[in-house]
Amino acid sequence: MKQISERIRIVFPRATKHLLRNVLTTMLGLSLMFLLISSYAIFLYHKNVSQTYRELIESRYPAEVLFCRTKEEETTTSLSDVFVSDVLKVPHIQANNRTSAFNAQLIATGHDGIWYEDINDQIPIVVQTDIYTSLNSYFMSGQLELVSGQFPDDKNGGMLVDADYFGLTLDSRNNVCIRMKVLSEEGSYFIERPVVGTYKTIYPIEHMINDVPVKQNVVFMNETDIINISDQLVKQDNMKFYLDSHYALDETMLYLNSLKYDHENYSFFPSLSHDVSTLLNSIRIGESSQKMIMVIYWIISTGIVVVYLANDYLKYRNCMRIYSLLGEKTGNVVCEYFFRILAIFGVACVPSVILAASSQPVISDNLLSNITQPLTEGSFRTTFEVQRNILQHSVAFNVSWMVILEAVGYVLIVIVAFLLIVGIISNKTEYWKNK
Amino acid sequence: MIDIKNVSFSYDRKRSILQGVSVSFSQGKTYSIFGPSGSGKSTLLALMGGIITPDSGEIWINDHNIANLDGRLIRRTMVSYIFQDYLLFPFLTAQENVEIAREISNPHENNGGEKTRKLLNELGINESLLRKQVRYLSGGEQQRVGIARALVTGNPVLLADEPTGNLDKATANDVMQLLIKLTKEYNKCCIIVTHSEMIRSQTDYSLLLDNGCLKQVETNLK
Repeated sequence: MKQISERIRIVFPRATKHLLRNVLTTMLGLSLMFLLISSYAIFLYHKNVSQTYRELIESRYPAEVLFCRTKEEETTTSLSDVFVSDVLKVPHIQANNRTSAFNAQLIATGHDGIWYEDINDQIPIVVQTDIYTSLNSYFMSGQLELVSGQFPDDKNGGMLVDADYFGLTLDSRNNVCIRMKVLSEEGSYFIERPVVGTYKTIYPIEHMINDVPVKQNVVFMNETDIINISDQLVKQDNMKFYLDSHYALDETMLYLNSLKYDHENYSFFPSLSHDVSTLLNSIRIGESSQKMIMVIYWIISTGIVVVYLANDYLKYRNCMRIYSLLGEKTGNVVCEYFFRILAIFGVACVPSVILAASSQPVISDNLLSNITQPLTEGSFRTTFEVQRNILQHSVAFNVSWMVILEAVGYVLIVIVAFLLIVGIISNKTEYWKNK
Repeated sequence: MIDIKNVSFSYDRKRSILQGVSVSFSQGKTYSIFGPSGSGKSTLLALMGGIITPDSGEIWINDHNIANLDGRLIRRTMVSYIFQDYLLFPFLTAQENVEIAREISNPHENNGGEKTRKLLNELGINESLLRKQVRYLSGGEQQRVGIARALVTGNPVLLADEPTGNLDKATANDVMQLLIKLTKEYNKCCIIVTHSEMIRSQTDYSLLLDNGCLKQVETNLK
């Protein structure tokens, strides 16, 4: 301990003098390290934003392939174990889950207010763009009342059905219950939506469309869709096959299409809509580009640091020689050299950390727009806006500290690796070391 | 003071640089070693400073066989070097350069700063030059700083390798006179490797080294 403190007493002022007097070299080192840490932190920041957003999308929209067989065909062949076994052997398919759902058909989309459809006495389903407004205006005013379950929200992604007409009718005829899923067809994709609750009408809602009074059979959902469930609802026996990667969906679909099975009895659908696929692909391409840029950046930045360190070492070697000829202990000389390098590194870390800590951990609109470009005008805008807050909070912590720690760690690793290599080489070749 | 006993040395075990050199150096005396290039003059200095070790023979300094000592310890406590190219820290001031050498040799010495300043003043480095980075000093001034650095350590032996090789004649003469004067004043043993006749004439003894062998010893002492 005494030896260490004695060494620090000797080495610290000398190293400080060398750094302060050799201003150009010191400033060059500081600038290089600062730029390296900061730019690496910026890279990581973007990477984390992209990754977090992708994970959110992936968790919200799992990659699945859905096989459907109608109940009416119950007497025909079922999804056999052999078939399931065959499908499970398809690359990227990991597991399966058998569920039941009702078939429904998307008939329109809209944005404002309650939409209505009543064709040939079929059961109308209405979807709300702004679920909170509608809840306020109808449920809070007491016109409608929740009978069972819960309100739909972005998390459960479900729907609320009319208990008096829709829910009870379905209940009696089709055994609809809360948590039962409705399979909605949206373009060429199918999305399952759970029934999360039922409501009843306390005071009739006077609603006119084209001067025609409308029925009160509304379904509240947190999406911008209108789904018409046919009166002749058909229960389906479904089987989901989960994929290990969202990006393998198209490939898996192609593979499945090539399988020989009874296409007339079964149909299968990818779980992801075109928008989600486009978004995920967009993020994936962005991440690939980031990785490539990162590799190039690593090579260049590591090269720059190594060149700087090597140049500094060659300059300092002359000082080492002088120290050696003056009889200075090897430990002090090596310690002084390490101290110089680490001092430059440490001082460069300070503004980098201040920069990271003082920066608002907010994702800029530009960045968000770039990430979500395919969707900003699409049907997932609402989802995007809701997820934005989640994204902000998810990334905030990463931006301020984890990112800077990783960036600092990266530069430190480069320095330590360099010092180790120099140490090994000089231990064998430098005469000043041993004499 | 220094006894070199039958020392031989070769760098690659093939070409012999020194062959059985034996010589003694005494405290308070100045010595010049001269001879053609490649005769082993600088090698002899390196051996005395513990930078290299002899293939055979012994070197004793103050009754210590330096073969048993660490080279850095020898340079820290027994011998100090003065170089042709000065070998100073270019970004440090004259005073700081000397201070570092003093701290290495005598880390716990009191009033070291005052001693350094006084010594530099004696060598003609005035107060304004003291605070200048040595890279801004002239060759003669830098060599004076080099001499001060060697003297400040308190080591009994000064080894100077062509100390005036980079200086003009007048400056070289000034520097040499100072070196010899202070050597006597501080009671050191000063060994100078040189090609200069002027230096040879100013030292107490001159040794001719030729082909690794000590051929001749002359004295200027009356």
